[in-house]
Amino acid sequence: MTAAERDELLIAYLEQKLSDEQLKTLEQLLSADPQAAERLAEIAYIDCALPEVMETENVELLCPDGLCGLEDPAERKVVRRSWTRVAWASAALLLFALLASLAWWSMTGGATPQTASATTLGMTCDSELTRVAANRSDAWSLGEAIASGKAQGWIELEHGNRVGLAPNSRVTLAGLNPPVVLLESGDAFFEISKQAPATDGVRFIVRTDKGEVKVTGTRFGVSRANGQTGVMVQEGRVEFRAGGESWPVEAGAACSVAQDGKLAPASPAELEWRFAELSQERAKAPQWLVLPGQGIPPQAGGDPLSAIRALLAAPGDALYAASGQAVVYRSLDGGSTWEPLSAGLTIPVRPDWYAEGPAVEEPVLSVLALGQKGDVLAASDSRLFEAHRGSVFRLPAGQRRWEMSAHSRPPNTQIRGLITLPSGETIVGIQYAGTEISTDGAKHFDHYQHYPEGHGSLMLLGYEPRSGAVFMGTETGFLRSTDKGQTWQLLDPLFSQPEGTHRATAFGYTRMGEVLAGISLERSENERTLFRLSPEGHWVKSNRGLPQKDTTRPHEGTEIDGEWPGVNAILEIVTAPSGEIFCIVKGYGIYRSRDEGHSWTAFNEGLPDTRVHSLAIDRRGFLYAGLASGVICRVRVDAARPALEPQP
Amino acid sequence: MKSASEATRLILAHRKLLLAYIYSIVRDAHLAEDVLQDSAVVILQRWSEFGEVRNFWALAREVARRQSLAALRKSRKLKVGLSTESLDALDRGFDAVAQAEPDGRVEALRACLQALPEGWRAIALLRYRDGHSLSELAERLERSANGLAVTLNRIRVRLADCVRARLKVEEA
Repeated sequence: MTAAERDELLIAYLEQKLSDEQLKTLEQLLSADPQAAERLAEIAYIDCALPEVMETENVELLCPDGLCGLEDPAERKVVRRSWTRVAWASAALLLFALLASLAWWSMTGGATPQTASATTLGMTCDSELTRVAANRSDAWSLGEAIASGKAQGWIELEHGNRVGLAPNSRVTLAGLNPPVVLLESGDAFFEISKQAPATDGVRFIVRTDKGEVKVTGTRFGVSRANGQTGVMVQEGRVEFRAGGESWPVEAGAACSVAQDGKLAPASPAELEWRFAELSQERAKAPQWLVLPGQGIPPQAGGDPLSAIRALLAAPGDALYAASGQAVVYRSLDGGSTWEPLSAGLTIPVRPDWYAEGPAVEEPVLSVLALGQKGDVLAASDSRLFEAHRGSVFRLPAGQRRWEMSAHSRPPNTQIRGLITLPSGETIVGIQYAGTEISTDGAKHFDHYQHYPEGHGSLMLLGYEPRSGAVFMGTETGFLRSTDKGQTWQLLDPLFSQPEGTHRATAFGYTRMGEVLAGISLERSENERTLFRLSPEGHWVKSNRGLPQKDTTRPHEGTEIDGEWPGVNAILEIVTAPSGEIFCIVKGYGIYRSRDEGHSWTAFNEGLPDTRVHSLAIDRRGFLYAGLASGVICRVRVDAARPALEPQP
Repeated sequence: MKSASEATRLILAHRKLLLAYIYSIVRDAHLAEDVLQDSAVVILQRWSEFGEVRNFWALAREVARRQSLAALRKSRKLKVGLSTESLDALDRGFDAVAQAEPDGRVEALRACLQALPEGWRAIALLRYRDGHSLSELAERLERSANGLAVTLNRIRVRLADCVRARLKVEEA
């Protein structure tokens, strides 16, 4: 047997892939060759030590084969599974096992504990949470860890105490009398009853690696995100100890551990949003929450360029926001902090326009899309569309610099749509022109195709995943392509008579694959509303509950506030995995449908401003809204999968 | 009386190798963690009874072996894979590996990881640090799962070779 064959056999053994006969061969090998057992030890060591060694390593990759798309910390946080968790769990559990053992050892003089209840706490646990090495379903054992995955969940403890875990969080029971809970990672919200028994006045203790919170009876949150520890108190008062100091933290206040390990006051708003969904859960009425948005400059003087024109929830829980100032911001922590990614976003502007000397408004980015292999795509737009040439930019996965895609489109065009198909092609929609297709991950666009004559300008592109069809919204209605944008068929020709414009303003679809569209009917008193494509291929209104024609505002032709489209227009439609559909109604904020788009209700509770420009939903069920003021808000929408109501 | 903190220090120092030893018997990462924890508790509980401990590794390995076999017997899914003779051979193999200083082995592994080809290192990171399954990796990297499995095996072998070579150099 060669060394390579030996290694292959040993690895197969560790992976439990050996047949009985191969196992016998292995046993013979181990008996006959001492080196084989040593080799098995070496390989097993690699398997067990690698996760921890890599966890502490600050590794920079050169992105071979698009691997760096998986390289952002947020994704690691979510997808990290057995090995890394096991490694950390090992450290924590071992530590607590040691502490627990030593504790009762010293208390009992080394005697065996007399009853199981001496090391457990009565509890029930939401099914969304995962219990690690649980001994009893109704008890939380010392050293046992409980973790949340993508969903949040609650642990109900005896005496009315509750611990709520935000997604991707983990706690371990580290002591009793009073209960001591170690927050290992993530965010947790605590409701400690004043009726719970106290030891030296303390009813509950929460620990992190940075400090300790002593509780007498209150509601508060503890965050251990990004290596920091912060405490935010909602009711009552806690005592926060860290770095040799002890600070009282009152209701409405917050405190965190600074870099030097000392305590420092913190802004409650910066911490409150982390626990918002947990603290709101009992009310069952989701509310929008304004994200701190650190890193995005505040709106200056009502500058409309500060608006968040596009949002994109990318794999790995990365969130991208395009502002009108030709900057894309990225957040890897759910919207708390943002970093600008502007390198390479150089938008070509026609020199002759500048030569004329007017105050040129800067081009804006208004389209974001996913590309291939974790790439992110952005497209430039402009309110003065003649001033620049529409461009597509690609942010390769794991990189921080945008690359402009090569193209063959006519000059002086605007990008209105950008979609990447599951089969890999990227289609760009160009106003007043047509489409271009890229088959190399948006590096080059070609196959320029002028769209069918007689439909006015191209307004948007859409993709419906169930049918795999691509949709093009124009000034006179919609066209559909079932061959990846090669050919287009007009939908509902009668509806799209050219005597009046029927401009497409938004595209969406239901979970069942029905197509929804925002259409502005300019000929019928500027009615703008939402339509559904019937099985017979006709557009029918699907707008029960949506604001009807706005009679309170002046209609100046077809434009309101000098901007198209006008009030009432449906600006964007997104569908949650649960089947709920959300749309932006210009001037009225966000509306929600729980019956496949047949009826709608306003969904603006907590939203500071109804001037919403963009929506995105991530895989964890958070819906994000980008506002005209540059603020980004968030709400959890799929905590419970809604039962779809019967169609009217 | 011996110090319990000394036992704690020794357990932590040998933790990775102990985990590897247990894993080579139970061949289940989660179960190996549990067994390691149980073994640590047993060592701590009985630390005062052990008398003077000259070879902590041998003591810990013996406790871990018993705990591993007990855990396998309790497990419905897993079965004892190796005979007693083979387990004895395994003990000797791990004893040889345990000759090196635990910290030295970790440092060697860290250096070897840096020396991996970039693409391999990326795959190792995704698999071991980030916990992607083989099928997830295959899908994301557009490679076959079988091909990736072969690559991962080569990575493990390369690292094992590299660590051994580095430790030998240090010995010399």
